[in-house]
Amino acid sequence: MQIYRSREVGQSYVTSVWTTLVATVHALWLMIKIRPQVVLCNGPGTCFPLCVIAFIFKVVGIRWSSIFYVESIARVKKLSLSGLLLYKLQIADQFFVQWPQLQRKYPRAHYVGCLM
Amino acid sequence: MGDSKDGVKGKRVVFVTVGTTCFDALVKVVDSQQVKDELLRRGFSNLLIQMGRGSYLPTKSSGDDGSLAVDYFTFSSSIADHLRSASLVISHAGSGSIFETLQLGKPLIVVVNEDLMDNHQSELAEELAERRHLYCARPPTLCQTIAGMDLKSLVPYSPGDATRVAKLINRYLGFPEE
Repeated sequence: MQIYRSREVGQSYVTSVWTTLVATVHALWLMIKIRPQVVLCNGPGTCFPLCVIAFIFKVVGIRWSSIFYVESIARVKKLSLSGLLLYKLQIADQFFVQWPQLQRKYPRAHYVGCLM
Repeated sequence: MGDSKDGVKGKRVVFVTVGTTCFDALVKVVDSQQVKDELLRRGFSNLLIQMGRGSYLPTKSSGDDGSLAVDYFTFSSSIADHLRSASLVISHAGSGSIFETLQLGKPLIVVVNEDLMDNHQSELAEELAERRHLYCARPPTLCQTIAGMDLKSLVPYSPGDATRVAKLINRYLGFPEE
């Protein structure tokens, strides 16, 4: 099953606004169609619209999905943009990091060691 | 980090991989006489370069005259076999290439691409180098890294597993603990 990306690697942040909107509409359609109980994602911007929609549903009382986010193993000292947004906005129900440095910096994250 | 499975006739192959990227700087420096001489001096016989989307073409050599045998290709569907038959891997800093190599127990030099903007990949290479699982270099420093490396001093990497994540998620969702 394919989903639209919010932003391609290296895409300018200005044009990303439009592609993110398109991705969000597509994600909304998928969420309503599938009604997942669990959303488990690992990182790139592609997951962000899905998580936002699942979160908004929760806020308005539609409690279909728990949201789990696993930050990429390549992120040792700094979170990715998706990770940072999901962490700061407290969108993920549980937020996992693979390196201890990140857990020290972001105390609400769970350190689970390297998954690879 | 043994190299007992080297293939026929005591070949010691250095496999260079840039993954799906374009990393001409690495391919160029590996193809330089300086690096090739150093690899020969350190006991390697063959150099195989997976050059990805790069435009720089290395010079092939049969190695019949006692020089380093050099070959290259752009992509293959799986580099696992090449990794398995290598005595040394020199890779770009992609996490896939890094972990695939470490899980096979192969000695690894990761070369960070200085031309990349937002080079978060180098964080991973540097962290694993600090933990002595691999050597980390940049194209200008690759030759001296090869000259000074002690492959037996590298610490074997134990693959991780996802049990911890699975347990935490199960607990959160209310599934009974096993």
